[in-house]
Amino acid sequence: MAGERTSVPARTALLLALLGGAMWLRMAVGRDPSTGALEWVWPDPAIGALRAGAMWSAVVAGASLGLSGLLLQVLLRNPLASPFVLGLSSGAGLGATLAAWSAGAAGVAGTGGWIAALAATGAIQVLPAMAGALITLGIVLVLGMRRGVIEPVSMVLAGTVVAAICGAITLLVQYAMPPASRADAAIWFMGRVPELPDRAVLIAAIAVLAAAALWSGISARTFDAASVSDEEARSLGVRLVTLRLGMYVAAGATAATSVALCGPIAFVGFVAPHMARLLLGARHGPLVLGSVVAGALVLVVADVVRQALDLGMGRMPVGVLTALVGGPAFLLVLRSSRLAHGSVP
Amino acid sequence: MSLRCSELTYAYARHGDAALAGISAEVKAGTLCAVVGRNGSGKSTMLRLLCGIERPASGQVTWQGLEIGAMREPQRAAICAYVPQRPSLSAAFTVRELVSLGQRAGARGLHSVDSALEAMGISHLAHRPWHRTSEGERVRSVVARALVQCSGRGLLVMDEPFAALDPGECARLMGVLRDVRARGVTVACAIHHLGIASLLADQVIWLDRGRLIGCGAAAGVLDPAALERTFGVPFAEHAGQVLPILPVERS
Repeated sequence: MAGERTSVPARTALLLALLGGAMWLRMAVGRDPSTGALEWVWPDPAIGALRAGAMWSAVVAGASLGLSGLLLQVLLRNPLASPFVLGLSSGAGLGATLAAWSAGAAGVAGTGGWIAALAATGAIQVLPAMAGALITLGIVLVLGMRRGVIEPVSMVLAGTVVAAICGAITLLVQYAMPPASRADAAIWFMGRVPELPDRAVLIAAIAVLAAAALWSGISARTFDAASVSDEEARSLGVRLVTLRLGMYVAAGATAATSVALCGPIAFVGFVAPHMARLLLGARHGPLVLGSVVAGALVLVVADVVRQALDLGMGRMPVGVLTALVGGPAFLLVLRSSRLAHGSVP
Repeated sequence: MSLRCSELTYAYARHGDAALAGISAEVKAGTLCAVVGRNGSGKSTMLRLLCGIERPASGQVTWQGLEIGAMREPQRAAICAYVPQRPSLSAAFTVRELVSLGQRAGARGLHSVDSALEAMGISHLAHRPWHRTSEGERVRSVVARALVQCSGRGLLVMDEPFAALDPGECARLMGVLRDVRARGVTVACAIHHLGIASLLADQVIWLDRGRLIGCGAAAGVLDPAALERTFGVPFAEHAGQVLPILPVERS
């Protein structure tokens, strides 16, 4: 055990080093603008600024998704939980799309006053996404419980259907948009890392991530004690209602900011906590930091791979890639876990 | 200095029938009280009310004059440890990690994590994933967690801890509970095995269909004739234990 304990900081450092390497790669990997050939050089300042924008967006969105996934898995005692699978991402996407559509209809850019002030803080993009995420999570929680007991598979099914409904409404709203912005909105809805992130949204996302990660870090030992049954957790002194409310808000808010930044990206929030568990064990102290770093790592690496792949179809949304890799990982966990018996691994 | 319940009533919302009706009893501090009765007689409900993780519909439970159900969770956890009938865990903790959850109650427990593992005979399982242990080993690890949580002069509430244990482990747990009682802890424990109850308990609370039908010293309450009327099988005393005489079916 002593060996395992000392290795947790070492493994966390390894994860951080991997993230550093991936961030460096995201800056260095690109394509020659004239020939289209893959190149591995540190870019000049103009291109460097674009790559840095994409890199920091991927770091913040990935870290937010990793934390959101961990919190949902603890909150619902369900290893399959993640913001994408439970429909939070789609709910946040619907909220953000509705806001963008109504802002477009009202011509926000030209108006002054409070709407412009909201837009400057990023709130006009982030708050509707948060509302969408929290409402979706609320609906899925109600649908996925029987007699006050969470049923992991029912909850995932409910999330999938709610996500499909949110997706359909989002497509409907996009259809109502002017044709010029429709293509942009469609690509955003597949999940893409922006090279020119909205500065206000990026700052809002960093603030939400920092607050949620800090709270989770402080509460990590309580997460440990909340991993037993409700009655045991209460007997161990856990104030379950307060804790769950905190998890619900933190998971919804981090999922929403990642969507406001990069659109609904599939499976990063699912894969990151599992990666962190494999490396760092089951205790939530190391897992909070581990899930944040692993989430950032997964999304930055996915974006590097997307950058390096040229299928001759232009810029591929990174969400396509994460779904292609994360989907099979999800099925693997579904097969190997004890969910068939109603319990979780 | 006692655990006292007065006029406890509890009903599950979906069933309507009272799971417990008008239970009043007192358990002296530093004694061991066995809660006995048929399946579904209200033992588990009674224990959950005693340790405050459920609130009664009416009546109250007090510990040293303070109402247990009205305490905040952290304060209650420092006084009372609970061992459920079917423990569960959603994280992939090792046995040692599960046992160390008992430390978070804050009070200085009777046992350290290592001594609790040793007392329950599961030191060799310390680093095994909890999900890869047997049902009996899981119960022993949750009892060990309660030993870490439980402080001297505190309260230990256990729901059928003997049910999943082999005879050797039953004897070990009896020794642990005697030791805990000797160190001032008050123990309330549901026990189906009336032989164990008659050897271990200072006091017996006997429930039937949610009502109290006997309360007092074990020797007085566990009367073979009364037990036979309730359980439908004869009982006999042997080596200080009240044991059921189960029918032998011959072909």
